[in-house]
Amino acid sequence: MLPGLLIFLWEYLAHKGVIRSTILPAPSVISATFYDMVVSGELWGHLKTSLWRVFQGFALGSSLGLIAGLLISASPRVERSLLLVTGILRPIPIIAWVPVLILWMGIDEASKVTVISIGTFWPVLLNVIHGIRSTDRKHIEVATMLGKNPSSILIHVILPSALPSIFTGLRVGIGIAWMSVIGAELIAASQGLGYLIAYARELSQADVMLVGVACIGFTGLLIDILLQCIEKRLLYWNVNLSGKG
Amino acid sequence: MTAAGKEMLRIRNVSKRFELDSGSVLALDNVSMDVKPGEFVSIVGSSGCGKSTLLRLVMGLESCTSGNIELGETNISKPSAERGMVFQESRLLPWKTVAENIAFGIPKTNPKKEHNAIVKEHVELVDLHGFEQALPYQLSGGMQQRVSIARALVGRPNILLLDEPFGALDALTRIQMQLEILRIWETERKTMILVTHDIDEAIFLGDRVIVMSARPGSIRKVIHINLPRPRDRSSTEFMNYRRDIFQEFFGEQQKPFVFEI
Repeated sequence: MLPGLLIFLWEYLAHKGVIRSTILPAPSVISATFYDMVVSGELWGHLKTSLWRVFQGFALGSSLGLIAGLLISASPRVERSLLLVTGILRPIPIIAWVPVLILWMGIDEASKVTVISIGTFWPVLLNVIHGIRSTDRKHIEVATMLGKNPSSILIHVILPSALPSIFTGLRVGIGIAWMSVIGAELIAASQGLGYLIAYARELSQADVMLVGVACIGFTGLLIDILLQCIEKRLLYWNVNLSGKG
Repeated sequence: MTAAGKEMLRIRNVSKRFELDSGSVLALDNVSMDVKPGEFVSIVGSSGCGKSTLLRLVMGLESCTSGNIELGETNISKPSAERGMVFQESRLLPWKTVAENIAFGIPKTNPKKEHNAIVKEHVELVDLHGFEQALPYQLSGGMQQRVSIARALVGRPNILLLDEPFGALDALTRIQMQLEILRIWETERKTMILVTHDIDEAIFLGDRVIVMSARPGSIRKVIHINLPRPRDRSSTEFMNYRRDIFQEFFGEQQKPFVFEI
């Protein structure tokens, strides 16, 4: 109800000329631009590029996060030796990596995928460690009692028990990955949603910019919904999830 | 049953000391007892008397500070499929179904193709037919404990250790589970050691009741229960055993069953 009313008001004010169309075009103008860009395939081209980068970066970053999390959980010595390194690296904003990585890896795909994987890596890592740490010792004891070897305990007890936490990490990670790709594309790219917005700004095409912004929001939402569906399928046993996700 | 099933469990001068930050605590002090194959032994004691520690030592989850525990000729130092254990909480893996939880107890030496048959047999044994695909959170406390018993039995242990298995259940379910465990004991003829703080339960089930005293845990008295099964909880003999054990705990000054008019 409220969003509908706001859009109506926005449209009305834009028509009256109270809002300048160069700054905030009317919803009807934005929808028309959106329609044109969908029909011409231009929007899909940018979206596809961004999604592909996110997919690669997310796959890389989350697998590294998972592996590192397992190693760190397995050995306190590894954790202690990495404490300083992770402590310094973790607070660095992802955007700060973009210029550095462009210098190291060039302006093409590699630097962007790396930025995204760095963004994904940290939340996955932290949640994997947390998930593994919170495994019920009583369950591990039962497995030990039944004569299970360490790899069997990992597969049957520790990983399933850490899965809800790992999923939280993946959800946060994909959110950051999606933000990182836009950030990287705003700075240096020739394709992608971030580039679309940056280029439209230079041409003062406010409607195109807003189409880009809205597209980012909706895609992010869809990704999260998709991940929640997978989570519900995979964590069917989790009582805490059976209500609302 | 293998020859190992006929072996005696010998607990010899076992002491267990726990090192804590606040100093060391002697949990068990020089405990010795023998358990014959196929015997049902109940151990009663107030909380903190080390009775659960004794079971964990027999299971091999902890090691003795001094003394040793032998099953036949072999010294017990680590868990083995020879011995199964049921805890107070069912400790089922929440992501596995009833059938998968039970199958988790099958030793890996067992051929894969026999797994289904073994699980089916034990589902029948604990009377959970139709619940194979249920998840633990969908079961009642008593049913969860049945699954836990089945999981402890699929490895075909000769000794089943029960660590207050019905302590968390309501009174009615508890009595039902006692009958159930008695039925399993009679059909499977396993050695069973039950740790409990419920004196009725101890007398109802055990061939012998071992009364333990607390801090440090040691054996105070061994009472042979010479009553045919199933035992009538309201019979005079049952009551006499009950009074004897109560007196072990509360002494002469307090007689919970004597009322002066």
